[in-house]
Amino acid sequence: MSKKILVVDDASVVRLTLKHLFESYHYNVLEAETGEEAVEKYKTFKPDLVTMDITMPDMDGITAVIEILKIDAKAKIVMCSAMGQSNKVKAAITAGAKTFIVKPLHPERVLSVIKKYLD
Amino acid sequence: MDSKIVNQFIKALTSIFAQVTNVSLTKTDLEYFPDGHKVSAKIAAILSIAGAFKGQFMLILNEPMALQLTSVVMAGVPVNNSSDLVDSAVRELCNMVAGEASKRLLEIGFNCDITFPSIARGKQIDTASPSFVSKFECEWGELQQILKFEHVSQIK
Ligand SMILES: [Mg+2]
Repeated sequence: MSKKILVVDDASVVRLTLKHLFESYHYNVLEAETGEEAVEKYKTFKPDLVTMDITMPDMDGITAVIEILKIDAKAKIVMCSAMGQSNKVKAAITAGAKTFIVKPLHPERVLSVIKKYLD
Repeated sequence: MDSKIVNQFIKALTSIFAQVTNVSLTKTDLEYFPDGHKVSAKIAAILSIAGAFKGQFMLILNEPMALQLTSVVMAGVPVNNSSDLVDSAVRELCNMVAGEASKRLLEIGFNCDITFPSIARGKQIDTASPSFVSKFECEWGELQQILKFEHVSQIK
């Protein structure tokens, strides 16, 4: 069965780009546009991996990481955010994200990172 | 501190724009308006900045450039009319530029936080506060960046 990825970003252009990229490699993709929606969808979709934006309306990505890890301590979450300041990266990793990719997203880099955590 | 801050946003825009589009921007103008600046914007992406200084960051562009940008972001798929997707591409560009600027600002000692951007279309924008306006050009047309400071006391 194909692995499942939950793509979390408030920008539809980012969700669409990642969805196309992951689907072309036969991953099963579900989208969420806020942190709150991500937490809800995590419970039912039970993804193998989550890509998580930081700056979003309502719940931000770092809070969403903390909430998802309360549901599943083994959740694999990869941050994909434009907020590349060292303090944000540190906060995301401390919250429990596996790693941090700074936008703009390059498809090869994103793929190599998600494959590392999915295989 | 103002010129240092403005420069980080200028560097962030030229760097991020080139990375995203493979098109290079040339800065054509930088002006300071102590009492604010009025501009009519076809499309404006606006976000707030808090922390080391309080203000707003805006990217202002026209429709053809927004369509070109969206098309490039969507791996070359032609984009002929405006949609949520176009707004989202402009918002995301603004988000990435401000993110890169915040990273650069932290490296020189200014810790700032940014909000997610909103889009305004066909609006007359009046910053009504001290503002730095930079203009850029590329093969797709003109792009403006405005950095507005909430308090005059933060401008030296
Ligand atoms: Mg975002």
